[in-house]
Amino acid sequence: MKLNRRNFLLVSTAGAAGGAVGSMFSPLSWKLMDDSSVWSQNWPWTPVPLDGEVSFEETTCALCPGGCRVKVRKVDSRPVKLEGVDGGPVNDGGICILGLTALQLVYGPARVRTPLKRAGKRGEGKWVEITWDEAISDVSEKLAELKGAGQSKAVGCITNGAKGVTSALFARFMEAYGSPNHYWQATAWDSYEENIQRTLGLNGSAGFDLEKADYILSFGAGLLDGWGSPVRMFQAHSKWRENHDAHVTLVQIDAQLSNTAAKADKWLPINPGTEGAVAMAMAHVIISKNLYDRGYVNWSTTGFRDFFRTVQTEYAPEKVAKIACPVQKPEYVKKWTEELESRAIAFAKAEKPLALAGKGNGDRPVSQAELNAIQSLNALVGSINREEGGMVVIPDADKYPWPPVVLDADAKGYKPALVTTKGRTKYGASNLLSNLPKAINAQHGGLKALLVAGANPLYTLADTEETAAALQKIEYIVSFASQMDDTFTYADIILPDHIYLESTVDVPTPPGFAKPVYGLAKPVIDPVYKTKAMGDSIIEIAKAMGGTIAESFPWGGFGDAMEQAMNEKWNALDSDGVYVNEDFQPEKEGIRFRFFARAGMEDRISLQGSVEKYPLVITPCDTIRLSTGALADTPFMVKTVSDTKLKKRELVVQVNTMTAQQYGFKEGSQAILETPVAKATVLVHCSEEIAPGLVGVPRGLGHIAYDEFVGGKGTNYNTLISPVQDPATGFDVAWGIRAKLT
Amino acid sequence: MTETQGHGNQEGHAPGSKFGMVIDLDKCTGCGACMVACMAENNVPTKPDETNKLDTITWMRVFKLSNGKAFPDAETCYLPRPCMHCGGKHDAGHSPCVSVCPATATDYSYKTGIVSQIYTRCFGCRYCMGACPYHARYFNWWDPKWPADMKNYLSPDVSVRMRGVVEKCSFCFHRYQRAMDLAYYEERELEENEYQTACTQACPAGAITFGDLNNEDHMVYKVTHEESEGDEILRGRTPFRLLEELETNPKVYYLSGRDWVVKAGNASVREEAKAVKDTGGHH
Amino acid sequence: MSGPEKTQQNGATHKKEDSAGVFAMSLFAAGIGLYVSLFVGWLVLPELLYSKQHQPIDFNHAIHMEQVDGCTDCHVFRDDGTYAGAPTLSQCIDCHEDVQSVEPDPEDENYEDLMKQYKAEVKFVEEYVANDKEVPWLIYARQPDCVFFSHAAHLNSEKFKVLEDGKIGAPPVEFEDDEEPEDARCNMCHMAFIKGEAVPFGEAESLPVYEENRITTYSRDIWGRNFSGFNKHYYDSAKMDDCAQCHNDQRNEGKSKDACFVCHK
Repeated sequence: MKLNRRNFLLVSTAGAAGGAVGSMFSPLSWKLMDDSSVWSQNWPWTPVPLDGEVSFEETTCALCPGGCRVKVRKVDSRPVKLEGVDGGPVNDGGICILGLTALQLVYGPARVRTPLKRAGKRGEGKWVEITWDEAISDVSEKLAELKGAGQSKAVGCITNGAKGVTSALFARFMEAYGSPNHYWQATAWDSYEENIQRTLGLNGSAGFDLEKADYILSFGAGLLDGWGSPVRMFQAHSKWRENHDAHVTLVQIDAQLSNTAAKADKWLPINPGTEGAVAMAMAHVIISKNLYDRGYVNWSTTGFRDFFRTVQTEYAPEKVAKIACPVQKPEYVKKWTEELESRAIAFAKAEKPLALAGKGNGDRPVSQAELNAIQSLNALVGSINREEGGMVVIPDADKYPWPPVVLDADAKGYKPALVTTKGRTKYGASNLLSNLPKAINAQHGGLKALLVAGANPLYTLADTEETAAALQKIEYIVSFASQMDDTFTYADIILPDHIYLESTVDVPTPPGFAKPVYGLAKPVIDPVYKTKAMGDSIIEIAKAMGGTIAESFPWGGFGDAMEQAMNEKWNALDSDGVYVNEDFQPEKEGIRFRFFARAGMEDRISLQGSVEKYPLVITPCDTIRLSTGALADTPFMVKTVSDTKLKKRELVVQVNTMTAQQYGFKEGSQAILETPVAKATVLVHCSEEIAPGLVGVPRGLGHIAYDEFVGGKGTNYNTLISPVQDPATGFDVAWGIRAKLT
Repeated sequence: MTETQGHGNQEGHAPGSKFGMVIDLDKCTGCGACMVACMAENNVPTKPDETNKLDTITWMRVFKLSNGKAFPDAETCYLPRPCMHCGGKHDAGHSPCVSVCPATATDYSYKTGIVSQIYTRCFGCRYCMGACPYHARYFNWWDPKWPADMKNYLSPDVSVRMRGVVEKCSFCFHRYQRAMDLAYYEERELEENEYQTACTQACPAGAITFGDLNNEDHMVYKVTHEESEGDEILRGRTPFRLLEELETNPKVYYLSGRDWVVKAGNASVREEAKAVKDTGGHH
Repeated sequence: MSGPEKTQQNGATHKKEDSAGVFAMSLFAAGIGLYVSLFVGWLVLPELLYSKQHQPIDFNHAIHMEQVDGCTDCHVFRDDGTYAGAPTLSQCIDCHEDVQSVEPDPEDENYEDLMKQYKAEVKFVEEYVANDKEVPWLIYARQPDCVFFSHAAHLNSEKFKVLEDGKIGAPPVEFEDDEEPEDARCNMCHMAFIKGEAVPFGEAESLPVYEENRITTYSRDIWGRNFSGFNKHYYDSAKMDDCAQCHNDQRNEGKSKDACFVCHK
């Protein structure tokens, strides 16, 4: 046999054929086919979550003041999900969209994982990791240096409200340090506190027995848009809908068809900013028809005669309709006025009527004039301190039984706060944070150092440019943020806080709740990163400073301070995580409601900008899917935001179809939204849910920091507006701003 | 019964369970907790940009309906949309999606009435997405990502999906598996409250009721059967289902006191459809 | 196009015996091909496909079974009905806080075996107990992430019955007083393959070598020892088809097949 090309091919073909036949009788090809298909089903980069023993641990959610009892589901020691706790006094099994996503705050890319010190220029985003010892001594040395130079009042502090042990520790630090410049941002609930002092002479917060009320007039309060304790509000709403014996009516008086208005039995559209006037018109109807509660008005109020006269002469519904009715067509105005009258009558005739205020989700203050008017309605129908379904005053909690603050000579001396108060306010200048940026920018050497604890002023204050300029003037900014928030970008040093799941946090009575309830969050997971509870950080800073400041903080740690603060509530809180004062009775004896005669129209808060230059009015849109406070949305929450609010990286504004046509815009048109303070590129959404002439701007977007999921999306509403002071309190009560769309 | 075909038993569901849902649209406030509870429960990832609602994965999606009237007569209503777990005609298991799947990656369970989706079996042809009239199915156009340490909160009860497969609401079937595990362990029957979906549990308004449509003790049975004591909940409202005229026989019922909402759900044909169904049953 | 023409020309010049030689050579080559192919398929591939790993501790089930009351004493069910799998360190510490066995006497006839056990325990206590470290056991029966398996259902369900010799399709064994022997159900699926023998895990004195498929990363026990994939017993393999044997119809009173979600998640 010759080995030529032909034979070679023949033989090797035969060999291959033999091999092929053999492979049919060997499992090779079948097995490899099976294995490779299995392989293609399990890419190594697709995570396989570890299994383990499931357990549940209960705590109190501290992401908002809502006070919901929640439980974390753990697989071994790993938290995987949050759920509501059945029987929780505020939320009974429910949980909100933010509470559900707390684990994204724990593990997300925006979390601050270790103390940081600024390396580059401000805003450059360059940081070096430092140890906790370095962080504490850095802050305490800087503060000691300022105090030593007689500059103690040049240190400011911003907390997230005044309530709770952490805020109290910061307030205490400022007192011992000797600075009057401790601030927080006022909300609608601060407005209520002021109003309770003015109209009832009491120190307390507003509570509403909404579960028992049967006729509710809501003046722009976004009851289902995040107002009060959101889960409790959803449950109250469901209770109204379930009530078989007596139908509960919700009338929403609102500039737009908010979620609350959409769920209301009746939406009475109004021009924004006319809530007070509409309330006065309703008072006019109630008084004219003689439907007011004579017993309550005669025995438990003062100033009715003047009020009566003002209301009768100035607030006839027809007159109010001229400013408040959003469509000025005669037949619609007539219908609108009739509606207002019939609702006022039904309100007065109801067994347990209740009127409420609070712009949108309630984190913006309401003017005293407006509140006076709305509270007058409650007084006229005897809803104040009524047995059931009324408005009650939850008295302020006693001061924590801590040892007195130790003051040195410097701290004892009187120093005026940087922000001056115009009106009389319960907390002095403290809740006038909205005025701080102007005060810093106006004065030479306003603040040299600033502690930002649980607040995000760069985001939440109106007029971002002004706030940024003020922050830029401060030499040394300490942030206690757990997330890389907007203000974080201006900070010089970060002492990152725990997330409440890793920490002990108290949650005082949620806003609007009709009974005193106190919640406590206890650590249910080990701290994941090198973070520390803010309370512990400030105690350590105080101790490092020595002297009277250290003496003012005699506790071993935050836990001790907490236990002492909670006093007799501690045992209940420690074992159950929650304390409810079931026997609570509001103070009634000798309490008289004072009617304010000059209320409503003449005190209407006017906006910045001329009508000629800025023909439109911006009004904010609140939704519970967009978090507007110091804490931003989580990635999952952003995912649920409608594409009629955010499209790619652009803000979408709501404009009435007619108005859009008038200015030549179609659905999805790009436009420039300009206000007296800022300009932004937006997309137009043509909507029938908003009155002509308005531009609905969703709040809660436009964060400049955070991660790719949350930051850089849309425009911050606060950037577009500027503060307008309430003449009575000095709070920023801007309910919008004039604008134009080009 | 001539139209009834296939491997299922001829009576449809009678012996087994048939899990379903009743959603009270008058209670739903559109807060979105159900959507997020679902994402957290089922290891659904999130992308940096989720504003293109055609490629964003939301097993449970809350739609906003409008009555189409001009300001100020406009009304809106939210409508949560999970997978409808269609039974098809006579509950024979001919769900639109199951019928078209070439890979048997999705099938119909006659014991629970749940339409499954097996990710490892799916090869991404997306026929089912085209077939589903409710847009309840979603395609993984990208590999899922959990940056930073977000992988740490993933649940072991639900498989993580890869790029190139379709996924959808499973009525939290893993919760049924867990509940059954315990029931087997304790050698007893499953209780109504033991198997509840994540959205039902989370809904702060209590708008969602979940249970066995075949079990007369369950609330969903009471609400969906006229003769039952569901009246208290119904308050004169008639439960309707989406696109009922397609005879997909969905297991998600809706309640609304507003006519325009009922019409928007396309249940205006409900009366006709019912008549057809009745005669069809006696052939 | 010149190729085939050339071949034709060449072919015409070849002699007869030469073509017979070519035929023989071809046959031989085919034989070699067949042999190599079968050899590779049956003997080489299994060796290449599976990596062999030894367990961190050579655990002796037989000894432990003398101390405890059945498999589920250590391989516990949790209160929520889920099956915990391999015991955790905290369970082992109950007994093995310190080394329990005594160093064997070299005179002992079982010295080597005893010494092996002793060493394994010492290693366990020193490396894991002392350092509070979980033992990274290799799980022979681990299913991929897409699979849900309820041990409770199979242990307690009426439908799942022990069959004679564990053979597929055989009728259920009738036990006296309806009492199945302890652990009989566990052994239906879980057998230790030691040196080609299937031994109930409870009787195994050492742990089998763990073999992992290099492509799929699954344990070899899922596909089974028999490379061909044809298996005789329940315990031979744990592929989807094996589950489907019952779940498709056999054990379901012939009513309807089970849906995919029964075993998938």
